[in-house]
Amino acid sequence: MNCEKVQKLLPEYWAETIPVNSHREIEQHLHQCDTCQAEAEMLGELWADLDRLPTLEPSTDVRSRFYGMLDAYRSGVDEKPKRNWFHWAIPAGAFAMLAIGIFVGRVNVTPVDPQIAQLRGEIHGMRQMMALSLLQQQSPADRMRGVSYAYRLDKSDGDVVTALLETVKSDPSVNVRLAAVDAFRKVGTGVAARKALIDSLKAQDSPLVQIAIIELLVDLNDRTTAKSLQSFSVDSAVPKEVQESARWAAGQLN
Amino acid sequence: MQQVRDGDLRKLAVLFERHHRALFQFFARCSGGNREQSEDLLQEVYFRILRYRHTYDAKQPFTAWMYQIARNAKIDQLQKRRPETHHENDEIPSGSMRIDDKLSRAQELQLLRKALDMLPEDKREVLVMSRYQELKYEEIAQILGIEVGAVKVRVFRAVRALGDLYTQLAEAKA
Repeated sequence: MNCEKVQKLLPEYWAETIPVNSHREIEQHLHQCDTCQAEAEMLGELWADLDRLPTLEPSTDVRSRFYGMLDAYRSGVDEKPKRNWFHWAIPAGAFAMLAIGIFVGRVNVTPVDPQIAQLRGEIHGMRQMMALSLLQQQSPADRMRGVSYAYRLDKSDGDVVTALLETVKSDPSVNVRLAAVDAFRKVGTGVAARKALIDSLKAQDSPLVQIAIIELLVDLNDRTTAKSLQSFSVDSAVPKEVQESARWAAGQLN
Repeated sequence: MQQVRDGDLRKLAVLFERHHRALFQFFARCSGGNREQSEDLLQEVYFRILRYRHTYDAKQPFTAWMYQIARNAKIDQLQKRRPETHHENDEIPSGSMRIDDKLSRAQELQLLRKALDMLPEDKREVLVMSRYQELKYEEIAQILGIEVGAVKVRVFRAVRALGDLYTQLAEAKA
């Protein structure tokens, strides 16, 4: 064994994870080579001392934050429309329901119970209020819950869309920003919101969020954003993987 | 992880309970003991595991995949802000040495910790993975996307750089 080979194996030698044969060869070399011997001894002590450095333990808060995030994520996923092989059944079912509705409507026109309508309105208002309130909280887990409430809204709401846009633009947590981008798939976007999303692309410091916004714009199939994405894809200040994603998206929308 | 990938998201709790302490300590050792940053990164990793669960390949060991996500989260974080050194726990474990020796030993360990914090990010990371995270060289190679032989070389170079820094600090103090 030469010096170079021995040096490469020293960490395993110190950790005592090296095969017996190699261990013997290293010891033989160290016996003959004073330079390696001195270095192995000094660095070996440091290697052992690394074990004596104090270890920081996570606070109890990490557990509650994790379970809060998991619950919020799961409720968000549960609200998402399922995409699977019987996807075709949704429009077919909708058509059947429409036909039945027209038939029943012709036979017996019954107005929607005003109490049920009022109750629905109250639930919608409550979810809206919870979303707006939680999105303003300091804790990322709370803001994540705010995003999940936004997910549960039946229809897009101006205030919630504005709050989500603000979250996408400036929330300090990448997680919350990503979840807010996803929420737009449910709450929908108007022309102004889509423009604001495009504008926020450049200001983003996280490539992950940039790619998530780009994928959202493709899913929304807004062809008017293709030009902006094209110019974004050749911007030298943009990370390479984001450029590639923008180029792909522009191609999809053209 | 396969169950999480296939839609049973509650199973992520099992993975959290199994790995969160080691993962937190990985971030803490790489960030010079910054608790707040390490806890944020921990949260970030589990969120990314959920969000990108469909990219998990069951043929790949979960630990290596998790550390790849952890490294990416750490790199994203580093782009936002420089690591700060926050040592919450300055207490050095005591042994059966005399008080003079103990002080001297404590000083040595403080210098060692300072040297570790001063190591360039790539060297500190590979050293932490190898020395503390109980990762095999094969796993580190997979995480870093390099050959096993290159990992061995990097680990030794990191220890040597640590030794150089430690010597410089000790000489400056003397």
